[in-house]
Amino acid sequence: MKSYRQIVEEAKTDIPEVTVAEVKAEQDKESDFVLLDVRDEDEYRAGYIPNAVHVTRGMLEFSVENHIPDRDQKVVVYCAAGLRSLLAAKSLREMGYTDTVSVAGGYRDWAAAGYPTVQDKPMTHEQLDRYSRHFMLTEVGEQGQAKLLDAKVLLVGAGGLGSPAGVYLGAAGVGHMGIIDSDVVELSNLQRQILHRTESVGTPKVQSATTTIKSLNPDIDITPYNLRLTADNVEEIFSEYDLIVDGCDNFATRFLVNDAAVLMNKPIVHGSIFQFEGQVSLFKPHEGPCYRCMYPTPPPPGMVPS
Amino acid sequence: MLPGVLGVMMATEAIKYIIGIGEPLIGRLILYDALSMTYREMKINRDENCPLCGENPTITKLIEDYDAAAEDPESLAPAAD
Repeated sequence: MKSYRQIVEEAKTDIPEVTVAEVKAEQDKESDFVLLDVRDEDEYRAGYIPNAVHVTRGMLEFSVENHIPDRDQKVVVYCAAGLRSLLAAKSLREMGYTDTVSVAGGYRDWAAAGYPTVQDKPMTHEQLDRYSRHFMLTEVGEQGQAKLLDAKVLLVGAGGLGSPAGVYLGAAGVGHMGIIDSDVVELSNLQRQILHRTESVGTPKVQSATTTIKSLNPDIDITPYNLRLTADNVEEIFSEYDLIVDGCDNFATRFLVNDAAVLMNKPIVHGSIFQFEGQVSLFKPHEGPCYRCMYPTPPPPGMVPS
Repeated sequence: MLPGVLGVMMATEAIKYIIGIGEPLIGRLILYDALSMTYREMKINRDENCPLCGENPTITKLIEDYDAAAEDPESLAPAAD
């Protein structure tokens, strides 16, 4: 039988320890390593080292691969004072991670040295409850939810594609959403555009979209733009957002969205449908193709389905 | 129903991108066919001659009127060198 002290001593012989000053120096040099925080949720919530990946010691073996798929990646593990991180680093070695070290003194020493720490905006009880199913997904967790709540997404079009996209983005807690559409709701929209209701017929789509998403999730803020996207307003509007979800229904807008997004270096989630077929992609300027890489110009007007 | 499937795929991609998990659809196009209930994945490459994001772009600012340009596709094309 081994005592706790023996287990720690054994881990110390297997796992190199580094000081917080060394970690800071490596961070400043932008060295290639993953900083792994293995403390419990409440400790993490109170503050963590910038850029740390958080997997609790309890969930480590179950979910670390999702966060750190490369077993040859250097992993610097920390906890509150440097003991749990030693054991965690040892478990990682057993899992085949080849380069794991533990931070002696852990977060306590880091904070005491006056190095920068970050704290996610604390979630309210209601948010902890509302998004609790996201927290069970280790890839999302509270860290992922905080990113969603901070995100600024522009929905171009509140029609067939924008409806389901807007409903799910809103439900998931994308904190800031812009919705742009110049149309009013028509009865013939309702067979597919689930953001709108029979009583909204005749009212602006952005208004009924805002009402629907807000009633689903009052936690998020929505900016409605009851106008048509043009070359004159696109830059001002896009500048407020990190990601464009393009569910528009015409080539003029699709090319405008693509051109503006590439010129402004904003990623686009692209979707389009025709009859029973549809396509989806993600255009990340300069990392992958853009819409014009596929279609340099729109099809001739006679060819355009409407 | 079709837009529901596609719109939810779009939301999924958006959420993955924001959180930074999984394999984003960069360079991949998913083609979905509701009647056969199948989907295909197509690899799509950057075009180094793309007038917008290629190595020597000819489109360096927005076109003035996209509606008019969509009626006259040639005007959306890059200017000749």
